Amino acid sequence: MSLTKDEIIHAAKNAQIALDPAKIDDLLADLNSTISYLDQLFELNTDNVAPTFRQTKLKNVFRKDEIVAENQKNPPKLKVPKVLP
Amino acid sequence: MKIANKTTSAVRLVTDALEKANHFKDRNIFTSLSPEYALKKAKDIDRRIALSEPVGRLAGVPFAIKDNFLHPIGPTTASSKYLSQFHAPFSATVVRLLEQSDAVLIGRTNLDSFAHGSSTENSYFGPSKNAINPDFIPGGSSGGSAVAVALDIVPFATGSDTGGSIRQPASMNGTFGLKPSYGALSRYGIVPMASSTDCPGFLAKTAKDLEILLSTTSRLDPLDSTSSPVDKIKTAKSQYKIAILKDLPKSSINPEVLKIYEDTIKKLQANHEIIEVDFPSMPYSLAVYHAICSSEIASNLARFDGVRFGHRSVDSDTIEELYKNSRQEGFMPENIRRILLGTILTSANYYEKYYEKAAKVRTLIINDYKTIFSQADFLLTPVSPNPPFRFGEKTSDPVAMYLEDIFSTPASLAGLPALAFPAGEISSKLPVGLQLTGSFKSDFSLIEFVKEYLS
Repeated sequence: MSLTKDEIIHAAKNAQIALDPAKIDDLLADLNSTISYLDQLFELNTDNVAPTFRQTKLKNVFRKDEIVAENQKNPPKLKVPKVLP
Repeated sequence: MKIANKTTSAVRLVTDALEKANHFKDRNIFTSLSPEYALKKAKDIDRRIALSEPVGRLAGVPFAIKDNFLHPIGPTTASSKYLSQFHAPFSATVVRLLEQSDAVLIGRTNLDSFAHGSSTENSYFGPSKNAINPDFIPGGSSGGSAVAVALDIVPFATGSDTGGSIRQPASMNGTFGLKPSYGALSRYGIVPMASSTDCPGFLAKTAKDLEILLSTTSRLDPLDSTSSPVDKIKTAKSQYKIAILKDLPKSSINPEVLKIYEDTIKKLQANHEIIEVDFPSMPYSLAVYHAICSSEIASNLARFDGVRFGHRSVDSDTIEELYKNSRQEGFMPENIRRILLGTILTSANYYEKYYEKAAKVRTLIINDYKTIFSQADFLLTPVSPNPPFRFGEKTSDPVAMYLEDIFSTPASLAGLPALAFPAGEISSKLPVGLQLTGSFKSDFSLIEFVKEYLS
């Protein structure tokens, strides 16, 4: 399966990254070579195999939402400049 | 020990480390040093020892952190333009635990930008240079940490390993490197890459040091929902079963690396049982890794939007342009390649075909390991198919660069502990390491075996 230039441009839009038009062809070649490397996965039969998305069997790990002393003493300083004119 | 006996002092150790770090400046090992902070800590430790007050287990031991571990001293850059001015408001849990044991942080080490790479050539601050021969790459992404340890600047440094980023540079510079079981060390406060395989760990001079570091830092962390510490249970035996691969892809391994691997097997044969095992899914692990890892990267790096922290583009008129330009300017080409690949693989047309397929093959890899560890204690493989290469040799071909991780990615996908240990050198004196992988949470047994039979 080969990617098209339009697909790269669409993905860059979704990923919110500006692309230098002069570099799109190189990027297309690199990504196509990676994707064709991934095509070897189709050699394996995975019928009836469940996907693994995480490795620990941990479930519903929550902590109490408490203010800790460290943050009270030294609150994180975030300076956010104006975004819009 | 020497500090407690007063034959040396924390200040002396830290001063020596800082001097060595400056001496090797041309290797581009550190992104920043923190001499004032380190000397203040060291003086305090010496003062407490003089007053016979208690000090921690690592009192006065200088160490460095890979520059993707958060700490309030100095910027946490992840070797990226994007975070080059970012000052973290808190410490990563691993660094906090090391400092609680009175180890002294002297600086931060170079990596591939956002840990995306196998050579440190993708660093915004330029590549680090191999400890043995500066004309060669140090490996990566924890390249700076490996060189700092190999050149005796610090006895240990932290690293992070998502697909081999601790083990591969350890091998290429002749140090020990441990990627613990997934969850053994907290990921809290580490710039994320691929959350389902990211593992903090260590590069160190000896296996014994790895044992001390793991027991100091493997703690349940309420701030990391995947935290799952390992217990210090060691099953010391006199004879072990060591698995080797029946179908090792010999033709794709450098002959000198292969010889070191075969010599190590012969050496182990004297005391242990060597078992040839099948690992049919192993050749596919690199494809699985890149499909899953880039998808997780695309998601994790979405937070770098130019608004909340880090680099902000100055010439943007709209909010959308601000996002797009800040990201384009702040990321290296390899970061962008991986984000775009992950965005494509998780889009409607590709999700089932690639991402879900890879997640299924990941299950096969985990099952193959289960079969192997039902027959053997540990699995021995090379760390990388090739010794260190020259700068620029593989930068034009991303897939050739990715292939260096063929032996290190399977343990990452299965969450298993894997240890790289120095095993020899090739004719040009460059070091070669081998990798021993154990079953889930067998970290301490793995270290014990390497300490006993492979050090």
